[in-house]
Amino acid sequence: MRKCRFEKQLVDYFFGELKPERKSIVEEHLRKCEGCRGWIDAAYKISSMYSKIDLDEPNLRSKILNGIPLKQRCFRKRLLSYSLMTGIAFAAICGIGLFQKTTDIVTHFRLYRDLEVISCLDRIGPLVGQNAEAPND
Amino acid sequence: MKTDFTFDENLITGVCAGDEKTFEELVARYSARIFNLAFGLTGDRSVAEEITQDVFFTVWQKARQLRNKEAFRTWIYRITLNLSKEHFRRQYRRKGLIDRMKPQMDRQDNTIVEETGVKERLNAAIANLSAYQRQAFLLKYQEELKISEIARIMKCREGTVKTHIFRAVHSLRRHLENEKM
Repeated sequence: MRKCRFEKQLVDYFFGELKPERKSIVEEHLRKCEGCRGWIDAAYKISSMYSKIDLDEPNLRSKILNGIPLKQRCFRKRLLSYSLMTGIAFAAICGIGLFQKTTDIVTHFRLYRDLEVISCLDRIGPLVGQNAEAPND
Repeated sequence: MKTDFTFDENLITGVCAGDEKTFEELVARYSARIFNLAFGLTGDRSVAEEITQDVFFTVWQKARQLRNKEAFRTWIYRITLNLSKEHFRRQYRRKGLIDRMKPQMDRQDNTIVEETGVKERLNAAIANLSAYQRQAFLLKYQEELKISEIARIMKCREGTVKTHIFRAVHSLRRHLENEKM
């Protein structure tokens, strides 16, 4: 079937959801368009053939009501495990971050100490030199 | 069953308050509908049963989150569609088959209503529709919802729903012609 601009209106028409003022326009189109007429016929045919699936499930209600506490327990268990996993992941991230920060501080401290030592040596150096030269005088 | 929206609203308000009796009433009112829709979507009785249980579990858990109590019917159908999709997704992941979006039409379950001839072939044809076409078709033909409601459930435009229904009927027609029914 070729695409027809009336196809959406046909659905509305068939299910009785079409605005009354559009109804006559669609009916007029149906007189002319064989494809759309075929679609409407098929829709009626399917409607008459299609009986709603109405399965009889006698224990469905009790199964649902009895199943809910079990599902709730499973849900809580799952929630707990997710929370635990999230907690572990968070702790691991914090741990790594803390370790890096501590390493940085230690490195910084060592560097600072080394610089202090160097500056001390720089200050002491000339004095040591003077003292070393003193006996010769 | 004619739907009384005010009654639905009262029920859901009761469920929000944690009233188990109201919840039981809600289950009595909707369980068969949800089960039938889930069966239509999946073609498997045990899966449909599981989906129905999950739908009501979700309703029990999340009823408080539903802001617009009037939209309860739309909400519960949407949960059913989402859980059916989730079922297919899980099945696809597990089995790795490409075309698992089609329901299992082998229907080896003997407890299913014994359908013969025309009805059986029509159901087989419905199973061959695309997932969206099947959803729109079942919500219209089986649940008799309005196009606007289906659009809200499927989260798409009304025009898209109409196109899905149009194409579903068109491909069913082609299928029936090929089968010479």
